[in-house]
Amino acid sequence: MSRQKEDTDTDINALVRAASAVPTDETATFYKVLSRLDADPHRTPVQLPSLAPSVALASFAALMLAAGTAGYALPDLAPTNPDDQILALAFGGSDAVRDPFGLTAPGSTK
Amino acid sequence: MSDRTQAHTAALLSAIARKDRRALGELIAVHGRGLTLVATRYLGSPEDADEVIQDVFLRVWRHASKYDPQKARVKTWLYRITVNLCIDRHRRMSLRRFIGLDDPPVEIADPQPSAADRLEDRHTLDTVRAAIAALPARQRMALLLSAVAELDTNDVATAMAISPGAVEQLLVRARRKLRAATTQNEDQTT
Repeated sequence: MSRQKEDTDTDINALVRAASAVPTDETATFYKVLSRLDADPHRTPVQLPSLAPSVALASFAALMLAAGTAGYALPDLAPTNPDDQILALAFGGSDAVRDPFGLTAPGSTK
Repeated sequence: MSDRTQAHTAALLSAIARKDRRALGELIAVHGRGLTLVATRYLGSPEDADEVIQDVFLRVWRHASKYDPQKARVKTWLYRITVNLCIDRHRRMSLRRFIGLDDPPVEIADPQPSAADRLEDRHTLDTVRAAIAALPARQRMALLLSAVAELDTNDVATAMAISPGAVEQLLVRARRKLRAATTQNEDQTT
């Protein structure tokens, strides 16, 4: 590298240094880093959202469980199939729903 | 950096590995300014540079025990982390700008120019800042690591994870463009 080129490179570097000069605050940087360290998730056990259900969600789940248990406990309130309801409308009555073609009716040979 | 300073910085890093916060403060006091200047000029955004530098020291805090003095000096290792985080941030900024979420970077000048920073000097420095901002990202980073961080070619190569020959090429091109910009500026002012 020639002496002249070294000089111009040095000049350019000096210009770049001067153009890059801005005020900096290392103390502020240190405190920002410290505050992020204190808020660091690695320092505290991770708590997944699924492990901490909200009160509303827990109440809703309890309500659904209670309603489901109560529903099955009542004899005539067993869940019905929508298809059964359509067949009941078509053939009439709950017996028709259970055996719409009379296959199991008394006297049936089938 | 002298051997004594290098030894002191390496001792700081050992203390940080033992979670000594005072050592972290001292490391920031020694290297924070240089890292911030490079990140600010590379990204063109003091706010983004500030966040990047915080991330750099958070990484140092977490990974100080992984530093290998056989591979690089502490200063070079710090700039290596900074380069990686700056590149990541620059990509995200470019994407955000592309989809219209961010405005282009504004020119950052020293708000408190020294007495020596006269009007004509300021004009020259504005030209240099614009020329640096217009450089391709890799040329800009190589130039800043060389001129502002004062790393030698081998250390720039380590920090950028490229060969020393590639660094030389980047520096030659970057300086050529800056020289052309400043010469053009002189021609206009005379």
